[in-house]
Amino acid sequence: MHKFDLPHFIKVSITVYVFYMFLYGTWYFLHIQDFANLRLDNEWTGSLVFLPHGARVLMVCFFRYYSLPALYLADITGPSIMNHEQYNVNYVEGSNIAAIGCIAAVILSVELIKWSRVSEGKFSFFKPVNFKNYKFLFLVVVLSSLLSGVICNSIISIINDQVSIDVLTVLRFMVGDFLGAITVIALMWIVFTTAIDTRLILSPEK
Amino acid sequence: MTTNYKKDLINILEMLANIERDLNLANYNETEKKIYYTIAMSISNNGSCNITDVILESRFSRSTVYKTIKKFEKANLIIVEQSRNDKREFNLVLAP
Repeated sequence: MHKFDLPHFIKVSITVYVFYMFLYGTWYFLHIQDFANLRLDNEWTGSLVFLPHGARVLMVCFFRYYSLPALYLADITGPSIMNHEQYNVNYVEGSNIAAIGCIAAVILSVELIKWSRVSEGKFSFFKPVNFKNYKFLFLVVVLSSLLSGVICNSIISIINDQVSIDVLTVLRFMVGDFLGAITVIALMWIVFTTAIDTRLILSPEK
Repeated sequence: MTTNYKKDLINILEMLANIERDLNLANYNETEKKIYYTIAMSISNNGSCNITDVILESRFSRSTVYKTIKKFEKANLIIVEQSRNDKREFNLVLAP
């Protein structure tokens, strides 16, 4: 039986919340506030690189189910804290439930990878997968982006009768989640390489 | 004792190290990079470069330079060719 580790859960929850909010904040200030002076004509263009999906994938893959409460909390508090005024006016009903769909998409992808016998032995929800092999992580990114686009938009359209979701919106979610997650992993890799090069951290291989 | 939290963080670093190892873009330390730049500069300025030039220019020990050149050769970054004028001498050529 898997034993619940409370100190681990607290540490993971803080890490997940801070990491998600950092990515959401960065994405929001670059896109909505236009701090980088991108001057995007279409307000939806920024969602083509939705950085917080990177947090969802990385946190579920490496911290497993311990990360879920903090991830959901960050998913619903991110928009309400960062863009409080717009959140009350523009956000469609059911966004908070759709957030569950987005996280469920990542969980489903991880379990699909497990089921495909990436991890040896009998299937178990509590068995960790070794994501040190980044190719599995890439698979989760691809699968979760596709599923997230479908599940999240389906939930929104079921809850809201007046909102009709077109195919392009679903596609935008898929592309945004995929590019966002890949960008986060690439940025982390650049920071990691620089830290190794400047000897701020020792390579885990040494 | 390593906690679960530390293990998870180390797993993330190992994943990034694996990307780094596979892409192999900056898999060399400062000393190795300096030796590579010394070889490239020497070839650019003099038209050729041998191991003694690298030792004199870089001021690293003979063993460090030899070891690094072997590593570059194994990674197909440089080619070690026997000199036509002096059979005891080896020229270093940057791989295309």
